Amino acid sequence: MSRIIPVPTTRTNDVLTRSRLLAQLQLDQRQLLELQTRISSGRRLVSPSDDATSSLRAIQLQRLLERKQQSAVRLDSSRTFLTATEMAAANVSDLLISIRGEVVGAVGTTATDEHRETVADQVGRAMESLLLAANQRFRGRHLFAGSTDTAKPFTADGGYVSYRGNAGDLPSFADVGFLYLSNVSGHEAFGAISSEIRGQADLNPIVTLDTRLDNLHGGLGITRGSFAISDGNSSSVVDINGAETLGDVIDLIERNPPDGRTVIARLTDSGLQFELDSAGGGNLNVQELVGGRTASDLGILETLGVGSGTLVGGDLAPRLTLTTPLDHILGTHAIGVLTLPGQNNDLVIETTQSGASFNDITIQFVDSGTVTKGNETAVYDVSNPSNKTLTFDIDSGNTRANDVVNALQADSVANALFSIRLDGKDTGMVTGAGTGTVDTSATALTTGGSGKDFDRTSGLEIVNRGQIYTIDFSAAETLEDVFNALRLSEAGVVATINANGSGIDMRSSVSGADFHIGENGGSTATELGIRSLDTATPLAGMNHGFGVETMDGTDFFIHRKDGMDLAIDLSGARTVGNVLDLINDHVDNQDPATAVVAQLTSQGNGIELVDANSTGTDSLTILRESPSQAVWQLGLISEGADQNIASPGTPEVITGTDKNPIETHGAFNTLIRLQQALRDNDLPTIEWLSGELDKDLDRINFTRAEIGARDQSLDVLSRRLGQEDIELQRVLSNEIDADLIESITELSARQASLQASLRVVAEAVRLSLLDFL
Amino acid sequence: MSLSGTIQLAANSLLAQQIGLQVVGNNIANAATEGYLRQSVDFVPAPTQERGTLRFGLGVHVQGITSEINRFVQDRARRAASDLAAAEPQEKAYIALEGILGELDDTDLSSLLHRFFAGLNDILAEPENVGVRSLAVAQGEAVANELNRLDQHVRQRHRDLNNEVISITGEINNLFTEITGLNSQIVKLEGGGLIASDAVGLRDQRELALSRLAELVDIQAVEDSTGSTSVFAGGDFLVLRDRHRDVKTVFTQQNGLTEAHVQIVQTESALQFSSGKLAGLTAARDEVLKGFLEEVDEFAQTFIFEFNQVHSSGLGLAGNSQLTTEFAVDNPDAALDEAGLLFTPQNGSFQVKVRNLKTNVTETSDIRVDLNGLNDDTSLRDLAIALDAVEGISTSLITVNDQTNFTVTADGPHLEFDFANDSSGSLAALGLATFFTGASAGAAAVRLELVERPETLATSRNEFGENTENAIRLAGLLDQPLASRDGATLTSLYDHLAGGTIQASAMARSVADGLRVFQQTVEGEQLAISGVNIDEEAVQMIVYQRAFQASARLIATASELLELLTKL
Repeated sequence: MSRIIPVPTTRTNDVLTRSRLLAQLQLDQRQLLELQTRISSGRRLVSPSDDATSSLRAIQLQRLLERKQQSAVRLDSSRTFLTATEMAAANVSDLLISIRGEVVGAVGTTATDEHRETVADQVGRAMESLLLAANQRFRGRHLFAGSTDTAKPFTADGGYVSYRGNAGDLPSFADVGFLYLSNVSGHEAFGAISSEIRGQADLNPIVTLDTRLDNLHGGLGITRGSFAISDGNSSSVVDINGAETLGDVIDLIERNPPDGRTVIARLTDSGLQFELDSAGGGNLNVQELVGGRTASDLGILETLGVGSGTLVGGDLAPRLTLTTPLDHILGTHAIGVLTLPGQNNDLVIETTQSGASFNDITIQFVDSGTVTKGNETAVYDVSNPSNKTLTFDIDSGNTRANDVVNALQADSVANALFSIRLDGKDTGMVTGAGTGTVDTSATALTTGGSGKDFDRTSGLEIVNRGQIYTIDFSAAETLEDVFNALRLSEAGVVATINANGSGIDMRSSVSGADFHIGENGGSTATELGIRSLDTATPLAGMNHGFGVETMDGTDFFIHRKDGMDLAIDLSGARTVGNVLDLINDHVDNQDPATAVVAQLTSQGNGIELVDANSTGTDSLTILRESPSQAVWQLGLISEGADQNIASPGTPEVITGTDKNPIETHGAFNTLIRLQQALRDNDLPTIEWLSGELDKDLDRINFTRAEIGARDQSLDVLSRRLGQEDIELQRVLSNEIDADLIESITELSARQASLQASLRVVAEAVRLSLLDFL
Repeated sequence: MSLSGTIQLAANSLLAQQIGLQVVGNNIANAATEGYLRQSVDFVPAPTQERGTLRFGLGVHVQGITSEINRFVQDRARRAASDLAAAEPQEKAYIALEGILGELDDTDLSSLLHRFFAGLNDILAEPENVGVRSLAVAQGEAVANELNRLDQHVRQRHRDLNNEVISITGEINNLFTEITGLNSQIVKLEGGGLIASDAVGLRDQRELALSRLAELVDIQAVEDSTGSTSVFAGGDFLVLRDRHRDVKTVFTQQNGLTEAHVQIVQTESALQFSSGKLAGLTAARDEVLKGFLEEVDEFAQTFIFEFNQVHSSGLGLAGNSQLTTEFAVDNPDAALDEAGLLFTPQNGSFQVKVRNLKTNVTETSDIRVDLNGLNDDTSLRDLAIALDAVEGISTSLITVNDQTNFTVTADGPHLEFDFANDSSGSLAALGLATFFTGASAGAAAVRLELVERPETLATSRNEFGENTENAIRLAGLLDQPLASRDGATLTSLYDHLAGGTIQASAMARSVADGLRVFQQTVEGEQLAISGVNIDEEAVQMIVYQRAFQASARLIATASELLELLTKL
């Protein structure tokens, strides 16, 4: 920096002159050095503080430039994956086109068995090539493994092909904040996973104190904030910003009651409920604070108030998680609370099974006078279902809450039906828990029971790869255990929690096999809503989409044991449920003594007919009404047969087969089935599979198009990054690079200045009066 | 008046002009001596002699030789020198910081950070490639090393400044000794003379010593009637006539930094100063370097904690067989948010995933971290117990020197574990399954287990190696608004650090330049008064010469007249 130092106005002298000249020389030489550095380095700024504003801009530009350059390198690298994927997909496309041509030739009228066998062999070889292409590695990565790190995504397994990858994407940052997909999963390219068997049932998990607020409302969570609780006179603000669980919310509500009041909050199985202490009366109401929606989200918004009663919140619909206990799904337990004056004596009694039938059980204390403290009894008469009363015989006023707990736990019948615990809300010091006395004034009714218990003892029967797999859930405690049991079964199924967190979806990752899910003697599959054939199954979707063809008039007859023939016309039926209804609601099938019951099988899957008539002498028989094939297509009669006679006995049962197999729609599935169909000369199937082959071709070509589109957009992005790079370099150069012309000109000027300074030094030092004396 | 008197008068004049010539000669001789104050002879007419009604002058009298000095200008010069001496160490410290920070180069921290995040980005395309993971981990190490380097270099500079303070302490004592010595000599020589002219050379030396002292500490120098100069700093006297108070260096420790301070030995109170080199060194050390270290540490802490928080919420391709918490607590029974952890966890939860390598089955367990401040808040012991209850892993508390950690161990070689979905931040706060270790720039490092097994780099969420969701979060962290920093991003925090240093450096340069100009201006004024001008001295020499010649002539004339009279 050049500076001008004022010249004293009084006198000057040699020291001053010399000092100034030396300073000037120093300045000139330093600036010359700076200029030399600037010219030799090409940088205008040697250190950032030379021009702080420019430096800060330059630092930001450099950062952006570095990131853009890194993005560009990464983009080029990632494009190689897409290119390799596209090349593999192109090979697959060519392969499928070639097979398609061969298949067309093999279904003609002139095609011989040998020709078809040859084509079947070609299909086999094509499948091997397809397998190679699908397992292709590029730079150490399996191109079609999805987002998982699996070793080999596709494996041939006993005539089937299993996919061990997933349908996940691998997004990468192509630019600051811009993600693009660098892969195509095996499922996307080849169709490796079946369409899901969507869980039809809402498993309706209950809420607990540990339920996270983020998991409520199907995972949408609740809006954190505050709300006001009022008794009609004064109000308090409850701030739940720091709350993680419903337990926290309950604690916060109880810690922040309206002035002078006590709030007792609890959880029901579906949400919150709370009430004011009985002493002060008032009108319990909950209001949002301005702009908030926290109370509404928690289901406790009650602007009008509930008087002195209990505010029962709405259903908080928590989503399922891997750790959701199986005890917490499908149903809720009924609960009754015995509330007594004083502390440490309130008791919570909960049924051990779910269901509405456990509601309205009276819980009462009696004092027969024969029981002394410590010898209390609990009685529940299971033999008399109408007498829904759980009775404790106590020594009123002396019996303690703990004694009541012991009494229930000592009675095997009562203990099997009920659990009992001390009410934490009524407990003072931990050491005093359960020490309060109880008396006959307390009584309670159980409420809140709903649904049913999950049948984990039966398990599932899954058919896949032509094998039956029995899945045992008896040791499962959580949903994850269910998923793990499925994974360990090697049935080739993938189970996931559905998108809205209310149920589970099941899919098969095996190509070439029919996939069925049915019961294993219980109701597990039905409760999970994952039967491959259930009452909602549309007839049109059965038999690989061939549906159930009905004809005008009767499609089949059911000959009952009592000799009655039921003519079944499926014309109006759309679903399996409709078929069952047509049979069960048949006008001639209404006498319970002789009626045939149509239902879904309890072992495996399919429709079964049950004739429990103990006096009929005929055999339960299903008769096809030619030419209708509907009864074959419903799986009630073997294909080609005209009737199905039940084995003698009571009841007589005809068990049908599941004609709604789920399959993995994809190239491997098509080729495996095509090979078999060619060998079987199954023309309708070959024709159907030709159509499937077209779909596979469409899929792979769509994948290629998708890759092409991505590549194109990445190309555009790459070019844009290149242009941005040039522009950023230009702007950065303006900020930090030296203008050589300016710098060299300045150097010349500075040299001249130095020269002048030197001359002045020489002249000034030489001039002296002494020279003239 | 007699002729003899005239000769005597002329002889006095000759003597006076000789003195004048000697002073001129001295001035010329010291024309190049730094700090030399130009001297001048004070001539006064000699006392008159009365004869009858007339009064005759008796010639010239040399009253004294004085240094040309203006006390006000001298004070201003000292203050300017003090201010400049205070500004220059700060300017140098900032220049050093700019060099250490190395911005505008491609080896600076920001470049390394971007390379690290680019490395994480590379994992997104090749998550199964352990080589790519290894590279990302190595780039993480480079970031940690750069943070270490910044810390070490700044600390070294800090130590250098301490050494300068120690050195200055000795110099101050030497100057005190010199000034007290000169005070004694000046008082002796001048004996309280009115014009204080006898000890001109000694005064020059004392002025030089005072000027040097003023450069070190902003002193007030007051000369009393005896010619002795007292020196004060912030109300404390340092030099009083022939006595002085020595100063010494004492050391304090603050945040792991040793600081040298100057104390007056006698009172053990800190030497008061607001300007001068000592003030500059202290400010450069305590404000510039220490402030920078604090900022770097704050940035490193935020970066490490935020990165670790995301990392510990994800899972790698592989799990861990054993992990130990990095940060210990004083009291294992205190709530975690009151246990003195550097990073404070909050109310929340996390999951533990235990995978059986034989069956490839993973079991998930929810671990609640209750820190709602209402009841039964989770302590380290509670957490260890909760983890110990998870099937497949065991936990043991370890207390060493009242510091408690815990170790989580898989229950067999076929089991491995990891953590997920930590909404409490407790894993990062305790240092479990983190990427970085340490909580400051100097201590930053990549967790050793991660260096040895890059496959444990947590790139997935919810399941081992099934996706890259966590890697996306890690790779995007640089631009993610951070709730803990009021929505600032790591990028903006670094900009603040680097930009603040550069701005402050530019400011320090500007201040120092301004003070340099001012100091030279005042020095010019000072030199204008006190500097020797050879031409002036030459003129002066001619004047004395001529006066001498005239006086000699007068003696000759008087002598001739006397001779004439004696010949009569």
